[in-house]
Amino acid sequence: MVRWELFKLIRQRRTFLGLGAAAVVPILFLAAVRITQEGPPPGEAPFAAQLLSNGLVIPLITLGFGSVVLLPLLTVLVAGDAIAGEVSAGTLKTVLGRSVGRSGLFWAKAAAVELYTLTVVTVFVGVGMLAGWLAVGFEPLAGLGGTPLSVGEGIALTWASAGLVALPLLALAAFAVFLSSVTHNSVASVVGGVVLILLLQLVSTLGLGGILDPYLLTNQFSAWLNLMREPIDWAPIVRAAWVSFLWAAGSFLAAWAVFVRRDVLS
Amino acid sequence: MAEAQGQRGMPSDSTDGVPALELEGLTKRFGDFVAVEDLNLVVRRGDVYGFLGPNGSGKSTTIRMILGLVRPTSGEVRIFGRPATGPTDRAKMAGFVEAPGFYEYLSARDNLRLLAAADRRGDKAPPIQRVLEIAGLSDRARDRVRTYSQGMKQRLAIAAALLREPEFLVLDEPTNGLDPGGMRDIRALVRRLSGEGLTIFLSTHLLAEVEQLCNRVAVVGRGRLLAEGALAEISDQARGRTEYRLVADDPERSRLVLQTREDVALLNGRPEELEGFSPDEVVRFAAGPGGVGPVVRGLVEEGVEVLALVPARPSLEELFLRLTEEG
Repeated sequence: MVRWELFKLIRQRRTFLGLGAAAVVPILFLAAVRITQEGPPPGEAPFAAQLLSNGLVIPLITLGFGSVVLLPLLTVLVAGDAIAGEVSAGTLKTVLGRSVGRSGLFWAKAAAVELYTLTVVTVFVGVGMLAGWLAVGFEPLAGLGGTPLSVGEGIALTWASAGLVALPLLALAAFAVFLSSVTHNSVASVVGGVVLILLLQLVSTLGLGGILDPYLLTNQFSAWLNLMREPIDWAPIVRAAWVSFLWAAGSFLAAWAVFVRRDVLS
Repeated sequence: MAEAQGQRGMPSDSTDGVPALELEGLTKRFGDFVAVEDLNLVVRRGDVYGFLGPNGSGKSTTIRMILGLVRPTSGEVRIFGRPATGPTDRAKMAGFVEAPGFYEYLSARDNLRLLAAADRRGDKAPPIQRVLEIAGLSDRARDRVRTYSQGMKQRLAIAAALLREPEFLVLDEPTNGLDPGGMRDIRALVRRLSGEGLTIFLSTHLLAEVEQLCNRVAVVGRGRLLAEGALAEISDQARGRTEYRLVADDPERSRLVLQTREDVALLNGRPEELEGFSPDEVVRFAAGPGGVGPVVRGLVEEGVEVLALVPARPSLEELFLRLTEEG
């Protein structure tokens, strides 16, 4: 069933929109940097000092700004449509008329959405890395603590960072699936997912989070920076893992509970 | 109604085995709105069962409950004797409700492959090519469903149902939106499938379809069962009084005689056809509970010579309107 859910995904324009944007944005960023020969002033963004001289920082910088809006948006674009899209197309009633149970269908959809999310991150980082290598070339990376990292270490840590950014994205995807299951409305689910991200960011920026602030889902997107320090600060990384897991598990279980009981009226 | 219920208990039922479908006290409420109320009916094996009702009568909600898309508020759906709670209880059933939904961005073939995978029958499923042929879609199988006409989608829905090799087929307005040729094709297909032994539950608001295809009928209105049984039984239930067409040597005089009787209601309206007589010769009337015997005697006593007296069975359309517009 997961195979067929993926088959459906790769045949939909929406999926290509998401993956295409994930591939194009790093290239556009790199092109803009090469043309203007300017980036953010050093100190403003992590790794900005090496922007013009080291292609290895390209995926890291794009990961930094991509995780604020772009990656969450591309994630919920597909995740929010997972159930609602089938409701509005009238295909949910068709599939539920077959022998696959509602639970089986739900978890296949959940798995397909999460695989898509991982693919978006992989494409985003992979394209950035490849473009940076081709256009600039790789050099040892200046870690955030000032410790130099070899090219090999730099590449490994970049992918580890991508994995860490993926965790809250997977959680966000689960939340969008939950909205999709509850609202049966694709647009509402996509917008709802984006609003959640913006709202949490706002709460954090205005300092309204109080003691909860470190546990907000949006604040897990920057946990990967701690990988770049020497020694690595594991506490925020572990926190990102369990906070994301709780969001994902809670959202999926709630979405599943609604999905298996909900009347299909379209 | 009592008559229909009596029949269910008759021995002929048990030789047929368990019914294909039983609805028992089926009720669905959406908030305060009662969409379906205490619906009881039985579809025996081999029936082509017409499910009639005007729009908004609860037909679709009932079918959604049969298909497992909507949870009944109370009551039960049984399929081949098993309470239908999950997909395994519905393994012998296939069908669709309202406009069939397909993945428009996929070809018909890919849609069927996907649905076959969702059936989890592996190699036991019939070849996709075969069901496409039955539905007459082989030529267009590789085209995206987006390019399909309404009629082709309806046929694809039947192909998708046949992919499950069901014993019980639920069709919701399968000829909806089709041109006369398309309707004829679908009806021929339904007849053929019925001939092959499938039990068919056919929801429709087209009375001609019921008359052509169905042996049993249920009429619903405002979520309630108004009548159920064989077509002839239903007309008896609906009539309450019995209608006759009369031809006498003197139509005017016979009218006058009938008008004076308290147990007779003269029925005007469109002229009645009766073979061998011209329409103005035919008098239509309804006899009271005492039957037609005293009426004839009265006519003869008044010197009217009765040439023909035929019970008039109201058309299905009249019955339908009478049933659904009451109250």
